[in-house]
Amino acid sequence: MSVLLKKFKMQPGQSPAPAPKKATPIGKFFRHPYSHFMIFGVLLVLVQVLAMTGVLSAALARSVGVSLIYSIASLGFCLLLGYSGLASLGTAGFMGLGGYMFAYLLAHTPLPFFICVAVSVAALILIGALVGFISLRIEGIYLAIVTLGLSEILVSFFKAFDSFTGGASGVNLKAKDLVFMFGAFELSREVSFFIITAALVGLMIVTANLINSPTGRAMLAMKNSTSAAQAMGISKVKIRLLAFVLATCYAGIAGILYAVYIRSMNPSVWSLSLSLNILAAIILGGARSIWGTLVGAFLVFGINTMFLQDIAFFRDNPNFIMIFIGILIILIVMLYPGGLAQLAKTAWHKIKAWIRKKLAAAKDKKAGAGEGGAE
Amino acid sequence: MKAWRAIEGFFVKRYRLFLFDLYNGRLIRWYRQKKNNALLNAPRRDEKCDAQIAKCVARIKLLKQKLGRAEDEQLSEGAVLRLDGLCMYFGGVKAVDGLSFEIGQGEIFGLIGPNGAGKTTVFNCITQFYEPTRGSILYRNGADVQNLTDLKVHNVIPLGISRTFQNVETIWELTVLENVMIGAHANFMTGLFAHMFHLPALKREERAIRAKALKVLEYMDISAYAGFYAYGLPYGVLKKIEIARALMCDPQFLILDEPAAGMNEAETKELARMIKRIRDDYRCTVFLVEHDMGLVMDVCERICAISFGKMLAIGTPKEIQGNKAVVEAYLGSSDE
Repeated sequence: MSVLLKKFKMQPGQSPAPAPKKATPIGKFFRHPYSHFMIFGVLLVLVQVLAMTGVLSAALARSVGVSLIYSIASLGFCLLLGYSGLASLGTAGFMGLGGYMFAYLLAHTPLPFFICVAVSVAALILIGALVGFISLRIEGIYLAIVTLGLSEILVSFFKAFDSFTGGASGVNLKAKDLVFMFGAFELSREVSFFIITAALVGLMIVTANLINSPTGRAMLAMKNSTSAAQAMGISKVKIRLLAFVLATCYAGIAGILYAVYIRSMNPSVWSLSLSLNILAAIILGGARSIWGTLVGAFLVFGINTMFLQDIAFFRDNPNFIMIFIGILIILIVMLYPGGLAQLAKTAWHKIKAWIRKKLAAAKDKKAGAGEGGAE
Repeated sequence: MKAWRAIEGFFVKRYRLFLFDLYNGRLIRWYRQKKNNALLNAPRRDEKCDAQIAKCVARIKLLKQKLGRAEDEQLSEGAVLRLDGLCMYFGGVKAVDGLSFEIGQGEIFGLIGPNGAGKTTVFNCITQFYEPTRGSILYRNGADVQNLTDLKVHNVIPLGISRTFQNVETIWELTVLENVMIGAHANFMTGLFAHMFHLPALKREERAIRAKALKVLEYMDISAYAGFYAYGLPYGVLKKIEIARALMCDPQFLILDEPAAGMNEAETKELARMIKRIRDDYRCTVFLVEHDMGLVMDVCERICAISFGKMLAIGTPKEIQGNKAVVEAYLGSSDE
């Protein structure tokens, strides 16, 4: 009876106020915007710990680590392409520049680890801003071509300047240089993995914050309609330079972590195919989704060494993986232009609708049975 | 010696121009701060802003004199905007050719003309999308008068000049609420660092602006769409979103570029009511371009008719309707 009264008292179109949920500490944690990034970080640490104890193979941990490094560069590219609409093919060049600069500083100067990182990143910010000025004049495919040229120039530069980059044979960092906290820790592969995890999780949080802030909205506005954005007080110079600086910074950090983790670099690593692979990762995962970008990077850079090497067919035909990724990209672009992120979203909405329908049906049945009983 | 003087003069002028830009930028920054204070209910910080604004205005006046630009930047009493011999040439095409008129405070002013008459070009000159070839655009902002040609595109909105576009320019990838929040972008004073780490200052601003955006959506009667993405919404709603976005910065001077394009008769009537209501509630001046003569004659208090960048007539709707030159421009002359 009281339920009926309540129903009658309600205005049409007004939904009943939901009962305030009790905030348990666990629920609070899960509702926090950073919680899933933290959980992801803990899982990654777990992978390395399991590899150290021998449950997982060291090769698996290594390929996860490499994928994480490329994920960082992809994340920066996600801000550039997905949020600012600027296509660049210079990611690999900037990664290489960061890596070489860091390696040179570490090997040839007495500066400690963190100062080397800071100096390299600061230099990359400057370079990113310079490149960003190009984007004020040209857009779209032309910008991609210009940045591609820039990247090729950088690679030639890496090959030519022996004293800085070790020429075509590359740089090998020595174990005695790779110390951390004034020699307290040696940067072994395991310690570096933890540093990579920390960097990735930190950058994911920063990226998520940026996307959900006025700056993120301004970037999207500038991408969708330059004139509307400018009329609303958003400076084109500021937003475009910012996007380029951020992308360059992320790529540089990825390059530095590559130097720390792999310890050897040669110019052939920073080729066009790396830039294109990062582009593929973004397209595959969804250019406007952090998790999508991560999944894309793992698919393009990690899946081969992580799982497929155990299958005899893929081991015998190493190029088949490229065909597989290519077909996947074609399918995704045709069916889900928002990438795997869009696919997952659609699927999730469908599942939710299905569950709701089933629940409603069950409720109706119950209510019907109840009424029948009363009569 | 003469050459040296010239070189010195060149550098001195450059330096003064640089200072001019700098002080203009600072002035805009303090206007923004003031608006943000109003939003966050912080009148105490307003006093500091007023002092800074006065300082910047004085510096700008001095620099103008030194730059030899002490033109009589005076607006007559009660006017909010004046075009003074505005010219905009694209190569040999004279899109706007020596247009001069004044718009009074709180007026609904219409600009009409046949296709290609240069109406949208006038708007783009006022909002600095185009740099006018010649002429000045004076705008009264509170106590001081500003020449809009000194400003950059993104610095126009903090003065309270906001606009909509002829072909709706909503941001597809944002929700309606976020679209409207873009309109208050100039109000955000927090920097990149606060945005990266979501510092409390940003959260405070964001909360205030979100609340304001919801209010504006309610005012425009589209709050039901707040959570929807702008992509695929009906045309009428998109038009309303644009107006809502323009209202977010508390405009003193609202520029509407063909607000009734693509609307049916009932919607146009509603729009006319809405324009009047906005003018009364926001106490702003409305400047609009429109092809729908019914709407123009209904809402506008004064109308300026232009053709090929030159003014044909200016006056009340009645005067314009009876003007021979205007009728000729629209229908062609009857002598043939």
